[in-house]
Amino acid sequence: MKKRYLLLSFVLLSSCSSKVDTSNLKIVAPTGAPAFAFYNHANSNNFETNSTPSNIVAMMNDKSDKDIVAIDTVTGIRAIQKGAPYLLASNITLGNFYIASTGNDDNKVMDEDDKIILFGENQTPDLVFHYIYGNVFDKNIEYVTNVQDAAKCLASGKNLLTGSSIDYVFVAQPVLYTILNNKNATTYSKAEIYENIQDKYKEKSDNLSLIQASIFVKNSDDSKYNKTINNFLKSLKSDITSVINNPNLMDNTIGKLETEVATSLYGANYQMVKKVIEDDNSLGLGYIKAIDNKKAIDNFISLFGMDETNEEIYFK
Amino acid sequence: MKKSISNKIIYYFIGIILLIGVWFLLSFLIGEGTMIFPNPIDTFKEMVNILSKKYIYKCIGSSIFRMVIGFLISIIFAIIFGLLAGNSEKIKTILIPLLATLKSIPTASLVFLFLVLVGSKNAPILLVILISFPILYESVVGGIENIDKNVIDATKVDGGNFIRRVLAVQLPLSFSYILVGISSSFGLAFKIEIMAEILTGDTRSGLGSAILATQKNDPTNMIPIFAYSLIAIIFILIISLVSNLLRKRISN
Repeated sequence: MKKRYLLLSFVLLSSCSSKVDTSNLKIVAPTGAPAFAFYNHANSNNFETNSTPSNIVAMMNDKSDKDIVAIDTVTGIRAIQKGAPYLLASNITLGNFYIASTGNDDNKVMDEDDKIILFGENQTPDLVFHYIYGNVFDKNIEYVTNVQDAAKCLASGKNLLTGSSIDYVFVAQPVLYTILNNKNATTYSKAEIYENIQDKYKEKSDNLSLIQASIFVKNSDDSKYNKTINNFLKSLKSDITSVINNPNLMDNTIGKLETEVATSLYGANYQMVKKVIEDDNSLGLGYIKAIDNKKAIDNFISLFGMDETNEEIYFK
Repeated sequence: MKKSISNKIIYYFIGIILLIGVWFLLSFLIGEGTMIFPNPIDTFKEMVNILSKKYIYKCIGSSIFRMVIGFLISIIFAIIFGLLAGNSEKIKTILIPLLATLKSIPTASLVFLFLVLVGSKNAPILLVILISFPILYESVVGGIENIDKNVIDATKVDGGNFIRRVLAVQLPLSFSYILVGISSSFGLAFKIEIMAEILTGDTRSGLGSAILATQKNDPTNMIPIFAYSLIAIIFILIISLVSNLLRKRISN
């Protein structure tokens, strides 16, 4: 009997050792929507976030210890094209852009005479907006630096820099949710979502999805390492699918952290993010294997004047 | 003497009241409630709320820890190079371009380099070293150059090697100068630490990280940012006060 137990223990132990351990992989993600894809890693020492995306690109180099890098797709592909030793593995944020009306527009239809706020001139929001709407609205577009400034415009109903009244604001989740539910905002109960940019983008692109953030993995010839990466990606896919269906899963991970620590690590209050996901996944979380989504990726990067991607940059 | 001290305290409080008055005025003139320039009352209330939570003490502790590491390394380098430069005009001249570069290089441009070299957690330490080193170095050099030449000559006549002369005579005599450098750059180092945490985008605990997180979470509410900043200001004031008292006691 004793021998049997010993044999059983040996078999169990050896089966455990042959399992690929993904917990040692070092991950970095920008705060905001992409970070929440890693809700299951909230308590891991190998998971870190950074509030400045350009700082994450700086980590994509030969000496970097990061195995998994989440970053906006265009920046990541550009880094690879400049020699960063990484491969594009999957798309995890498929757009969280919206146009919100401030309630100042009398006819409630966005037209040439309306003042529109865009953030990030010549960057993703600007290029996506122009891809969808062309130059029809250019006469009355005002730019602000980032989504936080755009959010202030939505909350006040005016451009705080110029003082001009604003009718529509291009903004992203989850900050949009914060503003719409801010009782102290001047536009509270008047402001509302006017357009889902993801849907408009799909209409324009033959149903191809908008690609925001992606996962880039370290390029290696080591088959054991690549197997570990593959296992990690499988579990990430499962995590993302699960949390879209049940955002309360975050309670067991992010919810275990001190509120302020969690907000700092993820860049937003997770209780609010749960509500954003519950609202038809308007955070834009998803998981698509990059190589299977090449057409959509190529379509998206063409907005930035980039050529079609080479299959060599994909993790297969 | 006692009267002059009590007068000084009265004027100090008048200064604080004036400052709060200007703050109220600016908040009123700029308007937009909490979105741009919150008023002192809301800020003080939020500060009390923040101080009642454990998180702020972790943040202060984390910022101080990294700042002190950087500052100590900076002091060590400043003493080594300052003693060498204070005793040799040639070394001092050789170090001029390096010092000029360190003083004028934009901090932000170093962030990317340090991120690659040591990661976002430790990059603020390097920034603190580079910013406080020139100030500390100059205070060491200044201290040595202000030692009475006759004393130096006397130690040379008495014999003893360079290291002994430096450790037994020069360092103690220039100590008050070094202390001035330390006390004047300590507050600056703390400010640099907070700024570096923001620039490196680090999301682990630290005052800079806390400020960044509140700004990202709700950009329309500037009250927590002002409250965190006020905590940092009060902390730096306390540090300056303590270091000034220490300096006075040592020079007496």
